[in-house]
Amino acid sequence: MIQNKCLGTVLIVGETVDGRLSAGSRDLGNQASRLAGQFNGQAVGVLTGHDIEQVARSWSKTAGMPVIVLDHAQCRYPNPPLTASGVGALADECSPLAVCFPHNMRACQAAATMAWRIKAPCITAVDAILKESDYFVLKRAVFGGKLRESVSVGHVPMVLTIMPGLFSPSVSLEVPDHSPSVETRLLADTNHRFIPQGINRRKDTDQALERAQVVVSAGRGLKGPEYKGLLDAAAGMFKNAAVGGSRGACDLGWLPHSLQIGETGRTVSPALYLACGISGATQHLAGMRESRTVVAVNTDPKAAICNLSHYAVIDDLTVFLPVLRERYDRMRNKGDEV
Amino acid sequence: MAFSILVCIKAVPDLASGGTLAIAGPWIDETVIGWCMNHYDAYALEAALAIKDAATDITVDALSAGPDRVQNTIRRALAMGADTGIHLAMNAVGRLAPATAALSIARFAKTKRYDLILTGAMSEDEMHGITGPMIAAALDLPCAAAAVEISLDVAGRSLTATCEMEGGMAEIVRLPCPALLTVQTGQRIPRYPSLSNTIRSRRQAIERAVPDETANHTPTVDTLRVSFPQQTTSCQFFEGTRIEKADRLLRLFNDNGWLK
Ligand SMILES: Cc1cc2nc3c(=O)[nH]c(=O)nc-3n(C[C@H](O)[C@H](O)[C@H](O)COP(=O)(O)OP(=O)(O)OC[C@H]3O[C@@H](n4cnc5c(N)ncnc54)[C@H](O)[C@@H]3O)c2cc1C
Ligand SMILES: Nc1ncnc2c1ncn2[C@@H]1O[C@H](COP(=O)(O)O)[C@@H](O)[C@H]1O
Repeated sequence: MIQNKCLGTVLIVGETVDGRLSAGSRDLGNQASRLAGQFNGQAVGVLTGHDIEQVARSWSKTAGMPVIVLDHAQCRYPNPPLTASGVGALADECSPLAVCFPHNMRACQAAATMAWRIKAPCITAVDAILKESDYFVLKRAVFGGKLRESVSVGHVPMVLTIMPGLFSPSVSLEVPDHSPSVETRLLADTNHRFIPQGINRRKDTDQALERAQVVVSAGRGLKGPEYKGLLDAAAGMFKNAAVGGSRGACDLGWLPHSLQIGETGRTVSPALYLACGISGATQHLAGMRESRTVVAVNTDPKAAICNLSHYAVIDDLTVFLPVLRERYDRMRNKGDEV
Repeated sequence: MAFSILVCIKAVPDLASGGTLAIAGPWIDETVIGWCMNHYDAYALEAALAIKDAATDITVDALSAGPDRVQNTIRRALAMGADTGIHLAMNAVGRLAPATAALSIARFAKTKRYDLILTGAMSEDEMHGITGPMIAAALDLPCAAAAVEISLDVAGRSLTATCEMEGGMAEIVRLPCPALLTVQTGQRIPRYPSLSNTIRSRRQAIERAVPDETANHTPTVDTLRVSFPQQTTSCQFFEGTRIEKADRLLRLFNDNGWLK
């Protein structure tokens, strides 16, 4: 399967969740050939799951790469120890230039575990790759996006987790005359110490957040639950608005967890996203990036959210939001336009 | 039956209390900032203390690896209720690569035979999310990431953890102890230090261990530089008085037909 030794292999490791390709893996597949090209190598996909031959075929076809399926009944949901041992064995076999995972907590665990075993450097949340003369420069966000770090790696293989959208989708130009091969390997039944018991799925009782035209969202800049009324008052100005929050605000109990927006929360794409006191961590952006207009209210002009925003007001939200509402009321009472 | 827990805590730059980041050399200027306990590690410590509160004969050790300044963070852990504070003194190096920290922590933990090791899901400053799994790999422990709920069966020497995944999904997994979990923020808000623990923490000696850094063949990753991100988008900052800013925002909302 992995024939092209001279070119060097770049393993692209995808995962399935209950028989479906995860969003991060779809994205990684779309970038596979560009990613491999960056390392001057050739992409070989690895997909973990159970009974996923069809999914593997279609992933292989869209990404234009051969795929090795690592199959195990306990890989129905991403299983880091099994993934680490399966991909680690493949790495021993084909001495890849790089092993790329999508960036999420479980893939980070799998990446760290296998990197440790094969004594390879492990760099997570990579969002840019440059080639210098005899080493690679990888870029990533640190301090919640306040700074960017550039690291150099001269050692292969390197084990990476890749942020979505590192490259724009790479569509292979030549139509392949035959589909790339898909081969299934059954993983050995060796791991009995990570024992899956079941899955909890959050039940979103209503879809108000997803359906709202305007989302008024607050983070830790809200300062305390006593200011929550300011959000409702702001939301009340709009025809169709809902209140949401960052994980920071929800963890502190200022807003219910059901209103959390982001990677591990809900995904919204309203016409207007009003981000109040939210720093703009990548995990938060994952849930609101598709909003059409983003307005930030933040005391810090350097907050990462401002990089994504169309408009920003640099102010203390607990002072600004009441003024905003007051000006709105005045405008409505006067019946005139601002 | 005695049960011992190790919580790994990292001291990170304190940005919540108004500190700002400045760049010096290839990293930040560490002389102009204060330090605090990594947010995720405070949740890990809280999880351990909650386990201790609910049972008898459970000990909680809090460990931090790094230069002398990490001792303040260790004291904070003692003030929250940890039984023992451990400083893995690693003065030779400024920043610890995850693999280096993991190896030293693992070598130390091996001597103590902990039943459970907790780390944060991620450090707020460097954001690797890999030190915990690497400690587990070094000790060959079963490991689960991003735990938001932990229930321990002390007699059965196992634990059940609810581990968060993407998009509102969580998996319940069982691990035999000894095990390592990385803890995600959420369920329990970390407690404030009690007065009695604060007083105790001031008097209590911090255990100091100097890790053996020989035969450390972890592969190196060098930080070349850090930089402030470029303002990539054309974000328009509203200027003027508060009222002017509010009015301009309202006009924008109104022009788009969003207002009631
Ligand atoms: C695996 C994983 C999954 C995660 N999933 C999510 C997720 O789904 N959703 C999510 O949101 N996060 C998620 N996070 C957490 C994320 O990394 C951040 O920690 C979180 O988003 C920070 O919340 P915040 O912006 O409210 O707080 P902070 O980062 O503390 O930001 C507060 C902001 O408020 C500003 N501010 C302070 N005071 C004021 C004031 N008075 N007026 C105006 N502005 C003010 C500050 O300048 C700052 O920008 C996840 C993390 C991990 C590791
Ligand atoms: N120097 C350190 N001392 C103690 N614990 C650490 C140290 N570095 C990392 N950790 C632990 O590893 C976790 C993940 O860190 P990271 O891999 O940097 O994201 C942290 O939340 C800590 O629990």
